[in-house]
Amino acid sequence: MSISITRRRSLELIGAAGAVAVAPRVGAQALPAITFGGTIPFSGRWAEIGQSVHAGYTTVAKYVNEVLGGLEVGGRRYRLDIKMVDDASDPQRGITLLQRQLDDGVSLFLGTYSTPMVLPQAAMTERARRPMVQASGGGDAIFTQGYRYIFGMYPRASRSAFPAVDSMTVLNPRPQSFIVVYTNDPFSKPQGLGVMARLRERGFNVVDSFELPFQLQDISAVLTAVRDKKPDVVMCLTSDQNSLLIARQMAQNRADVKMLFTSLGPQTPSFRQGLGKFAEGISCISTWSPSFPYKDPIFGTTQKFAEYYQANNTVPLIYHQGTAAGCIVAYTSVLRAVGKIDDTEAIRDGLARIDIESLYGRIKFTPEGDGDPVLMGSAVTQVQGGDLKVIFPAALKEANPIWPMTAWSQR
Amino acid sequence: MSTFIQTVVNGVLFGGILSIAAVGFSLIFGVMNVINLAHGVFVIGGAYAALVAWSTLGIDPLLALPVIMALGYVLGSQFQRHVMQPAVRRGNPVAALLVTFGFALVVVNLLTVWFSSAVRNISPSYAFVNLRLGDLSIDAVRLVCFGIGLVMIAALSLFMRRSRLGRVIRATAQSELGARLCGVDSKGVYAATFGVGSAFGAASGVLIGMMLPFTPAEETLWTVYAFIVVTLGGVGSPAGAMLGGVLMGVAATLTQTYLGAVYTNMVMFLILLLMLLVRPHGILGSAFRASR
Amino acid sequence: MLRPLLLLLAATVLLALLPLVLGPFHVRVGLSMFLSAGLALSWYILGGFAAYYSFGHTVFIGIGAFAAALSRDLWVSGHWAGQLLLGVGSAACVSAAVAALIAWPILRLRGHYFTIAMLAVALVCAEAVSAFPVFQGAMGVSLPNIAPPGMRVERFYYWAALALLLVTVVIAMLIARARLGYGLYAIREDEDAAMMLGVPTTRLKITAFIISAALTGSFGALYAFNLGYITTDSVFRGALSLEMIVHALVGGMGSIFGPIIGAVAMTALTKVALADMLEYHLAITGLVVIVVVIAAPEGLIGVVGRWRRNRRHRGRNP
Repeated sequence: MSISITRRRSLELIGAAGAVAVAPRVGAQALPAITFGGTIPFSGRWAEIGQSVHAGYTTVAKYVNEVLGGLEVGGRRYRLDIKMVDDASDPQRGITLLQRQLDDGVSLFLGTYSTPMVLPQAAMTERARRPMVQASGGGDAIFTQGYRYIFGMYPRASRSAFPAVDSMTVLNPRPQSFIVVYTNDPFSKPQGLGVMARLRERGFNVVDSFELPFQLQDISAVLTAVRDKKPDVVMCLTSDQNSLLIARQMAQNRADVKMLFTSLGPQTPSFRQGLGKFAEGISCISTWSPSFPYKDPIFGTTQKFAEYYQANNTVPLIYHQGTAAGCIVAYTSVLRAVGKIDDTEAIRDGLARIDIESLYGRIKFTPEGDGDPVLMGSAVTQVQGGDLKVIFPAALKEANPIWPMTAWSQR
Repeated sequence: MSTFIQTVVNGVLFGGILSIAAVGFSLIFGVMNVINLAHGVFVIGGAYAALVAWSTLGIDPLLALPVIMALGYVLGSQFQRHVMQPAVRRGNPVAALLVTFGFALVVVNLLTVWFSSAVRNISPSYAFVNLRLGDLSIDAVRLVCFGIGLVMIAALSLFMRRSRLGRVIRATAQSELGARLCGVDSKGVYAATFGVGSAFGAASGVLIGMMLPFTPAEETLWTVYAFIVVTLGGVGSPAGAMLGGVLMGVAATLTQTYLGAVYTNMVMFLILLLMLLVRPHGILGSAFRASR
Repeated sequence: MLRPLLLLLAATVLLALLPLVLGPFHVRVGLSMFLSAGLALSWYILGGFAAYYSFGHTVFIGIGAFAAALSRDLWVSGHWAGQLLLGVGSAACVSAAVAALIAWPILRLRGHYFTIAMLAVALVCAEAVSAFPVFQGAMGVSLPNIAPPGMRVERFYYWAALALLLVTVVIAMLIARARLGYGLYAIREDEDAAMMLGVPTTRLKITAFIISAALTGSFGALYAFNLGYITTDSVFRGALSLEMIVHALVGGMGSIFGPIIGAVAMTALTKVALADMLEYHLAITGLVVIVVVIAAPEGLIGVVGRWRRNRRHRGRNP
């Protein structure tokens, strides 16, 4: 027995020593750094989105450091340091790694992807009284805990798809019947339920609804309902993979509708390429598009950000990068206003009061921390000519909606 | 009524996909009594290989199929010979299972690094052709893949029954010692069997890639689907895989239409569990050993 | 029995004092190690003693986690010790109850079939928890922070996990010395011979299964409290099942300390050494598994044992 315990203890000590040995060492560089911490899924289920979000954060930092020569706060220049580690899409790993950063004194945090990953981390940053501005956790659960230090760049899930419903009201002739499909997860389900309620409020007729599991290989039940009930519009609040499956199977089986809306999916080029001519006319929400006409305190305009991004990255530009970039712009704007880089209370208050125009759009949070539903609501985009064009709201419109969409049987 | 028929037709076509994916797994499980946790990566690997062939080289996935099968065979048999056999020699019954698990982790990681976890799909020119039989709508690609799958399963069946290697494999499965006494190189046979199983797995991946969107993370699901098909239909026989697959497919689509889409997977896993408790060798039983 | 228990107590006291000198990150790593070790050891009670390898033990982590979360009303108002005991207690009870329910049919299966059956159980339960809104698995459940005010949160869970690990080790040691343990070893060596010799194999297997489930569920509750918000995916994870097995294997299946050592080693590797290797940590874990299975099948304990034996031999025969 004594042998085993000694062995065990010595192993523990070796483990602890090894941990200390590989702890990061911060080297001296030209300018002092403002560090933004957090975790990102570089592997696991959310890896692709994690990479896009990270690319958004790092592109802004690179621009500020290399083109602007650093960020001026309180009379001194600083470089922006984005220090994010891989949480492998595992909530437990995420909180363990986040703790290390809290210990290292990182005071400003960025978010990881998806509500189950963000919420446990938000609890930790809240306890440590350090702000987190995040681009990818929209579940209502995050914003109903009474947290003061967490901010999200778009309205909570139950409100986030309202622009999609509102875009239906301006279509002429008015659509009548809807089928709503949503994935059973902490983001899509509230989104779907919120959409159904708002559709009914606006006088539309929801003839059927479907709740889908996250992993599904076949949606023939939805196809049958479309065939039998012949709705005008099918609205899907579904994950990327389910959206692609639905679109493909509907096209393959010629389940014709006047409009197919999928919350996630068409933003990625691979979705549009995979469907080819059958992608034409599918609409989706975009919290951001490179074509937005906004002015930005760092880049000048949204356009310039998009150009700089394309010149410096291989990861395709979709809305995640814009949302992520918005987080950094929000932080830099507040830091400049506050004049200090480590006064977390003042920075939090600055974020709570923020109201600026940026490459992402207007940034203004509700008292609970999520995006203001009107000012930070998404746009609705539609695949036209193989590209995404903004069709709603009117202020951001690039093109008229294709309504009704050409029936699949006729392509 | 037409809803019911459409649902059943959809189920049969979907079931065909499941059968094709399971047939390689069934062979390995039946002959070597090894649960191949790496089966899913051969399936997904085949899909990605077909993606590369189609999007980078411009080759139709069906034309690339034989090459991809050959690659699968080589990779599988070499892995078995050089990694699994040393592991099994250690004596731990879970050893083989665990090295296949380790291999699966490595391959999934590599696929994620090379291809990212973006959702992919392969859409050759005939991907959206639709067939109509009165009220029934049939997706042409699924039908073609179903047909190819049937041909492949029949070919495997013939191979196992008529060819020399097939007979040698069956002999080794029934009694390894007996086969070795007859001069069979059992190690070589196992490597070849794993290779054949992997080749069919990869081939199924090519077909699946044309029908469904895929990511590297899907590989676990396809391994589990293979379990379910084999447990339901029968171990070791291509006919068992066919039967199990079609039954599962119809069960899935019926659940979706009449119970609710959100219960689909649960019902499939429940069928697996119940079959294990009642008749673990499947409806057709084990092709090589006595069934309970 | 007394001497090993005293040594165990001494080691526990030393480990308990560590948070006072270590920073919060290392305390969290320690917490992860205790959770992983406890889970691996709980699995080992069935898998190591009786050689019934369950590939779906994450089901008990999930059941325990959700039992603790959903039984909130029972314990939310009360002293923190009561909250912890009732939360973990309800997790243990529900896990044990579910295990008791499925034990007899499932344990009739042998070998691979038992393995797949447990996997199937885990998959069915995960889907059920998501599909039926009463479990709130898809939308997620929050757990309140039960750490006493004034105590650092990670320290609280560190100590709670250490305490539970101690309980698990003591239970495992007791089993190993009792008739239950010897009966399970007999089952591992040759179940049919054991049955013929009159060993009550069914009863022993079921007992081990229920104990294993209850302990796993308890750790599941702690896991959930530590996270603060759980969804089906965060606790019904195939990766967790496989980790338990890998830890036991890497440490060594011949001793109850094998799972603990394996868990500590693998946690140190993945959370500390590989924490910055953004893209490849899964592949490296896979390679470690392959290398251990081929080169060190008796696990780390086996490697150290062999090395010590070689030294002894070399000493005698220069």
